[in-house]
Amino acid sequence: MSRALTPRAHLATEVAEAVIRVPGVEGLSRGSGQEAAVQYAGGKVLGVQITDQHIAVHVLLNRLPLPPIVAMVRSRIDEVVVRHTDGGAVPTIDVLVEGVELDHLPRRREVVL
Amino acid sequence: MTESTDTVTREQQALAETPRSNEAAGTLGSETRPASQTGLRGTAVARASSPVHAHAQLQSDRGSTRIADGVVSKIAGLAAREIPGVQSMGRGLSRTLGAFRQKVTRASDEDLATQGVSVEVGERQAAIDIDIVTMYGQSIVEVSRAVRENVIERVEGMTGLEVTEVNISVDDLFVDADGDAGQAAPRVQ
Repeated sequence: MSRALTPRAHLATEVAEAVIRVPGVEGLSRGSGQEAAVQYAGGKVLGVQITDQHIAVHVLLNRLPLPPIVAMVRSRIDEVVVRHTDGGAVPTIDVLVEGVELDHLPRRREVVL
Repeated sequence: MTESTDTVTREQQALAETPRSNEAAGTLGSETRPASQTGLRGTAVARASSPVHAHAQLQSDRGSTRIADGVVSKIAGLAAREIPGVQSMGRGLSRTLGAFRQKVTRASDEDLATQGVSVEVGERQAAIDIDIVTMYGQSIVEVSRAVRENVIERVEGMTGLEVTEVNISVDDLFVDADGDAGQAAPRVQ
């Protein structure tokens, strides 16, 4: 029996792979509350949600500041999506930062009067 | 439920009368199939076009191919069970009877594959109703979307029938005794 991924699962896999490769991304998160995943026959891609007009990724980051990492994540997803849509309607992309895992917190500067 | 079934029967009759009405089949499909709704699914549309040739092969000049309801419901049942968010299938009573039957007659899983599935098969189209049980913590929207996608892909791919609709009803929610059902069995890709 063929185990070909559905187009949605295929897109989800590529999105997940692209996001994980971004420096500063610790990993994908299943999200808080109900599980965020794209399911397909025999498995699921955790941390990615895809509907017809919408893509959401739930990420754990390991570095500050967040905005440049998030921007990089977004542009990597864009690249994947553009490759998949062939000029069709482009879905909106949500990046949800579920947490930050830091080896050490940035040192707080003591204010000495 | 009976209402939707009636619609399909009428549409099947309409299609049987005008075998070349591809537009009718197209609009019918786009309403029921999420796969062909937007440009995001460019690949889905391309892939879905291959069974269309198979439809033609079901009805040839030198004879026709008929596919029994049981064949379609078995494929649909197995396809639905492939999705990780599906805990079991069938309504409460049939689930209980199914488990009992399995104990008494030592029926294999394959024999129970059609549990929770009812189908209506025409000459070139099929409509499928599925009863599923999912787990607490799963997104029902995502599970039913994945079930619908996979059932359509498997049935169209294996039988050549066009699936006009897949109606899913979520009949129960499985709660793991250990607490978080999702945490218990992580299926990380």
